[in-house]
Order: sequence, then C-alpha cells, then structure tokens
Amino acid sequence: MDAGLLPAVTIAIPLLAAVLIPIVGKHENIREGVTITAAVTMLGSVLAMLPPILSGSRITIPLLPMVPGGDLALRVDAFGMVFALTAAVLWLLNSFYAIGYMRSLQEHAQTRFFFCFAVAIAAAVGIAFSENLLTLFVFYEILTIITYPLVVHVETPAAMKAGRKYLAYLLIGGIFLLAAVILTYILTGTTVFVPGGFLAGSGSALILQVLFLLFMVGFVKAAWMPLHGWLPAAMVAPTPVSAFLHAVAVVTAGVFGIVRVAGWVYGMDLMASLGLGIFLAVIASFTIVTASLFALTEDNLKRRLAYSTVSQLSYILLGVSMLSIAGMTAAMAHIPIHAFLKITLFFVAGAVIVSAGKECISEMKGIGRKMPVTALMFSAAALGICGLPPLAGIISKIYLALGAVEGGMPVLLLVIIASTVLNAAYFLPIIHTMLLQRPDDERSLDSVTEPPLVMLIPIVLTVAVSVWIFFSPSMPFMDLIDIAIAEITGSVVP
Amino acid sequence: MIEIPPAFVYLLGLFLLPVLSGGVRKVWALVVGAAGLLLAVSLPSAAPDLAFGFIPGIETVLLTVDPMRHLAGSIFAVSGLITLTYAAYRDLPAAETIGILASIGAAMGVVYAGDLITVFLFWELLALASLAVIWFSRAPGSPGAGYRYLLFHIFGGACLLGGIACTIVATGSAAVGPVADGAGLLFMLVGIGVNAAFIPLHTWVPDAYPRASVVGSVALSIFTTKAAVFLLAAIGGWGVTVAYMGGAMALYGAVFALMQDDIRRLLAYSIISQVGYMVAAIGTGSVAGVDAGLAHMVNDILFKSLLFMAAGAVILRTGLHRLSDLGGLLRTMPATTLCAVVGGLALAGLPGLNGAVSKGMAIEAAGAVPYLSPLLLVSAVVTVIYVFRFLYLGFFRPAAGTREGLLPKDPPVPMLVAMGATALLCLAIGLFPHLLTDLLPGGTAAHAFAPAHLLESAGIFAAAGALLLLVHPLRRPWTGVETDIDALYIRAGHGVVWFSSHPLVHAADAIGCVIGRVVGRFKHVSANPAVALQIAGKTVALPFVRAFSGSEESRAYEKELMFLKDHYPDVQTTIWGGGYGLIFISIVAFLYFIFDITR
Amino acid sequence: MIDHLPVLLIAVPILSALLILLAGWYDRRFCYPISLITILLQFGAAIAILLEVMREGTIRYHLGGWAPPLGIELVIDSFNGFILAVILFLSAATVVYARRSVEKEIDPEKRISFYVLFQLLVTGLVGMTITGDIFNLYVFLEISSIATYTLIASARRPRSYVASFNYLVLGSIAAGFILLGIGNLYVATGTLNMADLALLLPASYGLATVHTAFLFLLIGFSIKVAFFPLHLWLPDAYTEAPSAVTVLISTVMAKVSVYALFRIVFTVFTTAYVIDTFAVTGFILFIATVAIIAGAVLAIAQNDLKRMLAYSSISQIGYIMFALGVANQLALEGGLLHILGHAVMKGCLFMVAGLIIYRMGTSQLSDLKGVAKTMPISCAAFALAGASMIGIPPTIGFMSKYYLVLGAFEAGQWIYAAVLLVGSLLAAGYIWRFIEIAYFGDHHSEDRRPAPAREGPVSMLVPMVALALLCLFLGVFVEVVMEAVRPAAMLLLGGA
Repeated sequence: MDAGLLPAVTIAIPLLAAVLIPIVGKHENIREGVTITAAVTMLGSVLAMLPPILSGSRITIPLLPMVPGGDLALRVDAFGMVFALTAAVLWLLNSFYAIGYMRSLQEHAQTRFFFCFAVAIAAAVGIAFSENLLTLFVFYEILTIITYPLVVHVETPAAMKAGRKYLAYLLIGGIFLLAAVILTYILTGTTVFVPGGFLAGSGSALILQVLFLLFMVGFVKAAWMPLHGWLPAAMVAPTPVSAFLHAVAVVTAGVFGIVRVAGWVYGMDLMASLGLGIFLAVIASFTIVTASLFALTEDNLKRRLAYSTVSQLSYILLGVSMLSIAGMTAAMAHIPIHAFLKITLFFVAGAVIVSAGKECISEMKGIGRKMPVTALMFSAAALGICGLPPLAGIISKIYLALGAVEGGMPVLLLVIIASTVLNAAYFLPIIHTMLLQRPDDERSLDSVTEPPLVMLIPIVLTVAVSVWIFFSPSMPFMDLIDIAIAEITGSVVP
Repeated sequence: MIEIPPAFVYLLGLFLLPVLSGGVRKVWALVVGAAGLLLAVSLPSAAPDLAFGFIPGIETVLLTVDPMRHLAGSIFAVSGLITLTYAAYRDLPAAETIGILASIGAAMGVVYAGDLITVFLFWELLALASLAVIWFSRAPGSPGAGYRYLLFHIFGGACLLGGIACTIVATGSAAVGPVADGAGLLFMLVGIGVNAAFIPLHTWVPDAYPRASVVGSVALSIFTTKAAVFLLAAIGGWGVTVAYMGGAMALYGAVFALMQDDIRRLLAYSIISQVGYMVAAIGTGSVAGVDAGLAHMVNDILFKSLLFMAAGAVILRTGLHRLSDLGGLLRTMPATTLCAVVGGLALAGLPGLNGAVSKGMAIEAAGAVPYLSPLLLVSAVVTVIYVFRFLYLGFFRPAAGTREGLLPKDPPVPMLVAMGATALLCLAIGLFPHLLTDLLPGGTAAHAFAPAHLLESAGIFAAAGALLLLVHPLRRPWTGVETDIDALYIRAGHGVVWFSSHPLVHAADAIGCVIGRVVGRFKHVSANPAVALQIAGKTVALPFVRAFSGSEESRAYEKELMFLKDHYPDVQTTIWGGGYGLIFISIVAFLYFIFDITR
Repeated sequence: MIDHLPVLLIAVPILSALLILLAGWYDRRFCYPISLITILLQFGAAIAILLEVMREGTIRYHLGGWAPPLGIELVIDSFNGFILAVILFLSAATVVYARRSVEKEIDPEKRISFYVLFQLLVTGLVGMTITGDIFNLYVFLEISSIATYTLIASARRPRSYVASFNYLVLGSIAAGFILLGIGNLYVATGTLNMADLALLLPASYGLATVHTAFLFLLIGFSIKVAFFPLHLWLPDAYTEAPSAVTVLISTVMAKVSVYALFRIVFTVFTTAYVIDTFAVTGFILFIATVAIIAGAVLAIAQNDLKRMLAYSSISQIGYIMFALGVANQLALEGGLLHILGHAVMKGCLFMVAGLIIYRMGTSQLSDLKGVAKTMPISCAAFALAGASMIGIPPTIGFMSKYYLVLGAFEAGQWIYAAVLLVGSLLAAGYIWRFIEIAYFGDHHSEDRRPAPAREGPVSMLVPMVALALLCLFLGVFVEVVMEAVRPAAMLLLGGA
C-alpha cells in the first residue's frame, strides 16, 4: 500500500472501530475483539511508517481544505512519530488492561467506554500527525470532548463535579489555543509547522510574548501549575482512563503541543531572544517542586500519582525552557519515557483496586506478599521515575542535566536535584509499605490475589519496555528525536 | 581471556538467586563471587576499552583497565567473596543476597568504568543495592534508616550528575579525569562527598550501618565509601580543600568513635575517620598521596570488614551490641577475639599489621600540606584509644552477663573462615608491604619498618597509653553519644512534610474555595438575572429608602426585598411581554430625535 | 421555464395553499402530501436558481413585464439565492418533521388551516427573500407575520395565546417602524426599488429624513430578528408554539428577517453609509456582544429545554449581528455561514426538543434524567448539533465562529473577538446541562423509574438526524459552502 496514505489510514482505523463498537455493542467479546484488532492494526500501520521516517523523510497528506489559516492536513515527522508510537503501543496494552479491569469490576456502559477510547486515540494520533496549528487544534478539541464521558464514567455526583471541572479547564484552554492560532495566522499568514519556527520578525516582542502565554494557557493539558487542578480531580475516573489521561494521550498531547510550538512555531533562537526560556523555566521549576510537595502527603495512591505526573510533565517544559539541544532532547525523550513508566504505576494502582479494593497507601501494607509481581513492577516503575537504573527514567534525567548546563542555566540543576530527592521521598514509602510492612491484621489480605493475566501482562510489558528503552534508548526513540532535533536546529534541511 | 566487565558477572549472577533456595543459593552466590574475583584478577592490566554508544552522543566505556583499577577491582572482588563466605553461615533472604551481589557488582562497575556517565549509572545502582541490603535485613529501625540512606544518596547522585554535566560541557569529554571548576566542581565534590561521608554529609554512615543485619553491615562497610574514595583517586588533581576535609573527617570520626557505646556505630565512625586519611592523602594531589590513599583504602577494607565481621559474630552469639553490656569474650569466643585483636591493632596502626603501612604513607604524603599531618597524628592517637576501648571493654575485661538463652561460643565455620582469611591478609600485607605497594599505580614504596615510622608509631601508642593511664573514664564504659547533626536533617525533613501537609494544602484549598464561591455566585445570579438585578438594585437603594421614607414604607420595602431574596430564584418578575421592548424603542426614537435636532 | 422560476416560487405556494384548503375539505389526508410536494418543488427550483445565479450572475425578473421603478422586480443574486436555498431546504425538512407532531399537538379540524397557514408563511418568507422592491418586502413581511401569529396560537394553550399576542404587539410595532422607514426613504428619493434606492440615496446621505428612515428600519427589523434587548417576544413565542412551528420560525423566519436587515443595511444603504456617514456599526457590534453573553447567560438559567434553546437563539442572533457590526469580508462570510449553520443546528435541536415533548409530554430538564437510554438517536443528534453550537471543530458552528473571530481580529477588534470566544464557552454551559442530564443523569439516581418514552417515529427522526449530520458535514466540507458564501459576502460589501 502507498505509504502516502498511511497517516490517514492510521487515524481511520480507530474511527472505524468507533463506528463498529456501538453496532456490535451487545456482544462483549466481539466488541472487545474489534478494539484489540483496531489497536493491533493501528500499531502495525504506525510501525509501517517508521522506516521512511527514520530515513529522514516525511509523509505529508492534505485531507481537506478547511478555512483560511490552515487546511485539514497531516504530516508525519520524527517528533510526531515519537508521540504516535507511544500512543499506539500504549493503546494496545491499555486496551487489554481496560478489558480486564472493566470486566472484573462489572462496570456499566462499557460500550460507550470503548467507543470513546477509540475516538480519543484517533484524536491523539491526529494531534501527533498534525501538519499545522489548526489541524492540531481540531483534534485537540475533539480529544477534550471525547474524554469527558470517560472521566465521568462512574456518574456519581462527585464524578460529575470533577467532570465539569475537567471540561471547564480544558474548554477554556481550547479557547485560548484558538485565539493563539488565529493570532499566529493574523501575524504570519500561515499556521503550518516549520522546523525552527516561522514567527521570527512577524510582530513586536510584546505580542509574541503574549502569544506564547496564550499558547501556554491553551495547552492546559500539560497541567502546569497553577492550571493543574483538573488532573487530580479527574482521578475519579476508572483506572484505565487515568492511565489514558496520564500516559497515553491527554497530558502527553499538552506537552507535545508545547514542544511543537517551541520548536516548530517559535524556534529556539526566537524564544531565547524573547526571554521565554526564563519564563518557562520559572513555571516549570515552580510546578516541579510544588507538585512534588503536594504528592508528599497525599494518601490516596492515584492522587499522589496524579501530582507526580504534574511534576514529571514539567520536566518536559523544563527541558524546553533550557533552549539547548540536550534540553530539547530531554524534553522529547521524556514524553515516551514518562508515559511508559507512569502507565505502569496506574496499572498497578488499578490492579490493587481490582484485587484488594484499596485506594489509600496506608491500607496497602504487605500487599506485596499477595501480589508480588504487581508490587515489584510498581517499585521498579517508581524507582524509574526517580531516575534510578536500570530503567528509562535516568536517560531523560541525564539529558536534562546536560541541557541545563548547555543552556547556561546551571541553577536549574538545583531544581533537578531537589525534585529527584522529592520523588524518592514520596515514592519510597509506598514501595516500603507494599513490599516490607506487615498488614495490621494478617487475615485482611486472605482474599487478595494477583490480578487476572489480561491485566498482569500489560503491567509487566510496560516495565519491560522501560527497561528495554534503558538498554537500547536509540532504537527507535532516540533516533527519531535526533532527527527531530536536527530539523529544528537546522543542521539538516528537511 | 575474555574481557567482559566483572560487574556483569555479579549483575547477571543475581538473576538466578530468586529461583534457587537454601544451600544451592549459598553455593551459587559463592560461585558468582569466585568467578568475579577470578575475572578481576585475570584481567590483563592493559585491556582495550570496551565501549559502545549506550546513550547517543555520549560514548560510554564499560571496561577500561589500568593498574589503579586493577588494584581496586581485585580488592573489591576479594572482599566481596569474603563477605559472601561470611554470609554463608545461614540462609539469607534472597532479596538481601541480591542486594549484596548487586552492590559488589555496582562497585566493580564504578571501578572499571571508563567515563563519568557509566560511573554515574553504577553509582546510582550502588545506592539502590545498599538500600536493598538495609531494608531486607528487616532489622528494627532499618526502614527509617534505609529511607534516609537513599534520600542522601539520591541527592548525592543528582549532584554528581550535575557535576558530570558541567564537566562534559566544559571539557567536551566524559572521560574520568580532571573536572570542571566553579559550580561543576562544587556539585562534583558534594556528589562524591555524600558517598565518601564528607562532613557534614556523613550522617548516613552511623545511621544505617548499625541497623543492617550482621552480614549487611559488613557488605555496606566495604563498598559505598571506598567506591567514592576510588573515584576521588581516579579523578585526582584535587586541591588542599579536599585534603583538609580529609583531616577534619579523620579527627571528627575518631572523636565520635571514641564517644560511642554501640560497637557497630563505633566502627561506622571509625570508617569516617579512616576514609578521612585516604581523602587527606588523595587531596594532597601528589602521586605519593594517591598511592597512599589507595593503599589505605585496601587496608581499611580488610581490617574494617574484619572488625565488622567480628562485631557481627559477637552480636550473633551474645545478642548484645553495647560495650557497656559486653565483656569477657576472651574466654567464650577466643577465635573471634583473636581476629578482633588483629583487626583492631591493624586499625590502630601497629607495625607488622597492614594498617601501619598505609597510615604511615598517608601521614608522610600529608606532610606536603601544612598542618595536615599533625591533624592526622592526633586522630591516630584517638584511634588507638577507641580501639583499646573496643577490645578491652568488649573482650578482655572480666565477664559481664550475656543475654540468657544464648550460649556465647565461637561463630559458625563460614564466619570463622571469612574472618581468618581476612586476618591472614592483614598480617601478610603488614609483614610484607611490597605485596601491596607493588600493585600501586604510582609505585610508591612503603617503608613500614623504617626507624622513622617505627618511632612515629611508638610515639602514637605512647601518647595513647599515657592518656589511658591518666584519664580513668577512658577505661570505663559510658552511654554513647547517639546524636549527630543528622538530628538537624531529620528536623528539616519533618519541616518540609509539615509545610506540604498544612500550609500548602490549606492554601490550595483556600484558593479553590474562593474560585468555587465566585463560580457559585455567578451561577446563582444567572439562575434568574432579572430578579437578581432587582435584588441588587433594591439592596443598594435600601439605605436611602431608610433615610428618606417613613418607617412603615421602609419596613414594607424591606419585606419586599426579603421576599425576593427568600424566593429567589423561583420568584418570577411580572414582565408583561413587550412592555420593556416598547419602552426601549421609544427611548431610542426619542434619543434619535434629540440627536437629530442638535445637528 | 427557467426564466419564470422566480415568480413561480411565489405563485405556486399561494396556489397550493388554496389547493390544500379545497382538498382538505374533501379529505384531510391530502393536506400533508400537497404541502410536502410544493415545498420540495420550491426547493428544487431554488437550487436550480442558485446554480443559475452562480453561473450567470444576478437574475432580475419583472412582474408582469413592468420595468422598475414602476413595476415590481424580483431580484435573485448570489446572496439571497443562497438564503433561498437554505430556507427552503429547512422548510422541507420541517414539513417532513411536522406531520406526526401536528397529529399530536393540533386538533384534527385545525390541521387544514395549519397547513394552509404554513404554506402562506413560506410564501411570505420566500417573497421577502427574492423581492427587489422594498415596499413589496413589507407586504410579504406582513403576510408571513400574520401567518406566524396564528400558527403560534394554534397550540391552543392559554400561554400560547399570550405569547402570540405579545408577538402580535411587538410585530406590529416593528411593522410600523418599517413602514415609517420606507415612507421616509420614498420621501427622500421617490423610488421604492432597492437598486434605484442604492443609486439615489448617496446624494441625500446628509438628510435627517434618511437618518430617520435608517434608524426606523434598523429598529423595526431588530425587533423582527429579536436582536437583544428587543427579543422579549421570542422566548414565549418559541416555547409555546407547536414544535413544528417552533422549528420553522426559529430557523426560517428568523433567518429571513436577518436577511432583510442585511439587505437593507448593505444593499439599500451601503457600507459607506453605515460605517462613515451614520456610524452605527460600532454600536451594533457592542450590542451584539452584549446579546451573545446575555442570551447565553439567560439560556443557562432556564429549566425548560425549549425555553433554553429559545434564549440560545437570542445569543446566536448576536453572532450574526456581530458580523454586521464588524462588516468586513471575513466576518460577513462568517455571518452568512452562521445563518446557514445556526438554521441547521437550531432546527435539529428544536426537533429533538419537539420529539421529546412528543414522547414524554414534557420538556422540563428535571424530568429528562437518562433520556439518552430510551431515545439514543435523538440524544446523539442533540449532542452533535450541540457540539456545533458550542463550536467544537470540525462542525459548522466552529467554522462560522472561526470566520467571525478571524474577521474581528483582522478589524483589530480584539476585545470583541475575546468576548465572542467567551460566549461560545457559555454555550457549552447550557448545552452541557442537557447532555449531562440526558446521558449521565440516570445512573446512581434513586428513582430508577422505567422511562416512559421510546425512540420517536421515523418521519421525525430522519430530518432530525439529517440536520445533525449536516452540522458535521457542512463543517468538514465547509469549502463547498464557501463557494456560495464568498460571492454573497463580496456582494454585500459592494463588490462584484
């Protein structure tokens, strides 16, 4: 098949699944079959695009003329591929996990659940493959809307409240993003991503700074403080949804957007000359430290993980803010790395809910005796996020440190050090509670067992991938990122 | 001979441990240890670097060999094997054994690493392994100790990373060598300093070592600090700051060791003190200094692990770990006592034992830096005193009791073998220093039996003896000083936790509340804007009504207002369809005509 | 044939109205098919004409061969050709939808008159759209208005009488203003033909008479389009009218009034006048933004679905007037696009509301918990049209808003652009209330009463779903629509 069509196909597959799922909704196995098949085929088509991308070429396919300021068009480049690949792999794993989870808990409205999942992943891939800001915005909004039913899935009053919060933050963000896109178009007459940016000299410094602020608020999905409120609130959702929000698509889309804007709309030189690096660095540092402090005393496991996500995402912003090659590399590398590590943690949190029905860390004493594999995987992923070998987390940490020095901001090293210590400070107690402490009364855990295999295997696989990334980081992620970096630094003419 | 990094032997070997059990596991661990040792000693001293692009852009060298590394690697392997032998006295939990093997492997990795990134990777792994050793000993107090231990080392690791980053950017290469100055140097020093127990970053040593299991503390005592010393030596080119830091450590450690009652805590401080000697020697920056530092590292590994093993044996057999409780072990545990004496005298620096050799070299090298050697000499005197206390109170003085149910006798064979072997090594090096000095990279010779040195040692012992004779309390047990500056750190930690659990959370809640109230107000108003406006208007007008109208009108007015407020938002204002529209239209028309006439 | 289409567009429905009356006497069941066929014919004709216009340019048809200014002239250019197609399409959809809801809501003996009035209403609206004579416009306006008053009252509930009467009062006032305005124009120029007026007026732009005329026309039509704060007739009228009528007046009639206003402002008076001579655009822009916000806020406040949608109409009309206020190419494109878009989506939403009333007999939001379980298709349609209302890409609602904002940015009206965006957010506020209640309201709720309703009849579902899907497709293939919209906007700005 013609490689030129693959991007469209990649997005079409989950959409097709989304059409089929409600039709076959009554028959659970067929419905799940559709999901899995779609996930596999989508992964396949993404992988099929990998070789040409790795060879440095790009796949562009205009879909539809839309409005002045950008047509609906897709372009697969190395950086988009990083996101798409992460999303595709994790969607497959997450689907298996979700099936196990939803069935074990006999959740209601599973058809709606899987339908929304399919559309959402299509939107996520669309964001990854967007050729211009407007296309990105279109998919971004779709993602916002379609994840709402997932967030409020349990439909308790609390959930509805959280859902409103979620929607309010994200829609307002969308408005800002739209304003930013239009302003960009007014300034430059185009919104097509250009490696190295196209805004330079299009407006006064003030306007460009304001524009960047608009973009930042627009990409509220990146959950930088103080606009992070929706993320912990969204923890009421079922765990596969949390995993989806935190690893597969949503927050990833936010940081992806910011990196895109930094590298493909502004360009590092322009950002440096506008002093936006400092601005971003301040926000990121504040978020990293404050969020870690919040996580330090949170007893609900999922909420603690949520705060950890908030702080981890700002690692990416921090990498961008350094405006150095290593920093950008760190930022891009941390997207998949954090995704794989964090999804493990959420998978485990969900597994504990399924088998033991416990959500609070203080109740998980000695859970490791009954669910050894799960607890070990959790520990591994947690240490990975703390940046300890042999997991992927340490790679982005190294690049981050290099970037800080390279970008002439050694002071940021202090932020990295502080956050590393804080990460350890809030993850170690969980590990100790799970693995070493004795339950208050031994019999309380009698009924607890390992989760069903369909949930256990994804957990193990995600950790395996993280370890694998540690041992061979270059393939494929680092190679892709090198290409992307080469693009935006202009060391190769794309 | 195949050149694979010895670290891999251990790190691969430990994967088999969980599936094995009991005796098999012990044997397997020993096999791995032996294999590692074999590989380490048989590495050709000029092996080609084993390098590959582990992380793009940075070439990581996993295996590079030179005399210094050869020496350090061999000693680590030897002591590792000894530890494993010692550990074989019972079935350790798999996790703890994994921890021990991993820490040996990580230490080997640090040693043979050809670039700083690799060093950093194994550095972090070492911290992780030690954490496993501490936690899985499941000893009382180990959770907190392990937690603090990892926090310290992850902090150190991050600082080291910062220093490495600065170095790479400054020098353009990640090779283990001279480091960047300025901020980079600072980060580097803090990073290494945490592991090398620089004052005031040392508190994890006395905090964690006494709390591990008897085997665990032996393993811990060997690798972490010595790996840091090795890195210091490998990088080299340090200034007097480091040298004086060494001196400070030597004295500080010795004094605190003197004040201890818990035997393993005493030994822990003694580690700080001895590492101080090495740091001081290396800090001088001279070739002799580096050699002295390395030599003392080797010797300290030997006699310090010997002492820890002895202490472990004592604790195992008596269940006691305080000098004030112990005593009279000479009769009940003669072999252990012998080993302890050898180790202790070596530590004290008695000529004929290995301690004297390297300590002499260190003091000699320290002469290059003003006021440094006096510091070291003083510490040496103090060292002798606390060694005396350790031996006399623990072993020689008339028996105190033992915990009932435990019959103190010499420990199981594996322990004895390990201790015996170590003791023999101490003796051998002590009698034939060239066994060690020939291996030194700088080829510095030790004149252990040169008159000057003998005189020096005699002086030290004489001074110590005099003090012991004159100052009675030194001969009596006392309740040890358990507090160090770590009290400060713990306080600070609690402070952070308190801050994040109270002010921070409350502030966040407050902000959330305010926003929520605003939104709620907006929703309340929008529920029936017309009436809301009406109410607002009436409320504003209320004081004027009160002021300018009679009491009953104003009362009626207030009642109306009350009514509106109570029935809000259900109360419907009587908008007769087009009424307002008509009014508005006529107003517009009227305005227009005004506007038209005025032109 | 083709060159007589314009007059046929008006003549045929009048005749068919009579036909329905006669046939109805004979047998009531004939009414519906006749009216449907008529509308479809008109729609076909409208499409033909639109294509013709886009190919050949403006069509001028002289009634009875009398040349203007004496005779009445029908003018169909790219602007009202587009409007014509839109309104007739929606009328067709409405007729299809109307049959069942009429059976439910209107007494058998009144159905004949219903269809007759329906035809007359359409006639009047078509006439308003295609006439080139300003007085003729007034005549058709009255025809449609009177038909509307009666149709609203035909629900035969007390409140519907009140609503109808309110509308009657305000409508008459509006008509009065319009008539006065026309009179002034005639005094000033001595002609009633729009083209002539456009030629002659600039000479007398200074005259107070002209100003008066303009202001009166503006106010009059503002009432007809329910431009805030002259909207007071609208909520009751929309809420109390029979569902089918609500659909028709909320989509077709409102749009035609808007068309008339645009025609007056931009063709009779030119942009030169409204921007320079009698600078009113800024004022309109301001009021429009107020309307957007106020309408949305009031909509959020409602507890009745139909009333909520009615208020949302006020807010949406604000968007269209916004375009008039900005008055540049992009904004007008956005405005015209929104005329189409709003007609489609609001039609769909009101159809859903009507269907819910048809099945459940109520449109109180509090009674609609979990209705999505029993009426999934309708709620899905609502969700889609609602998303378009909020302006979620890639729906038509997003596209029109995008153009509007783009235009506002281009005109340097940053503040208003921002307000517009906020307004679209408020739309989310009221649309989401229904979505939440319909989809997520039922689960966990104590009273798990078996919902009484089931999915509606096909004849009501089909037009509804068609409109809903149209919201999406018009958005995705917006470029096709723009082919028709762009020249129209140019024409309004005095371009070719």
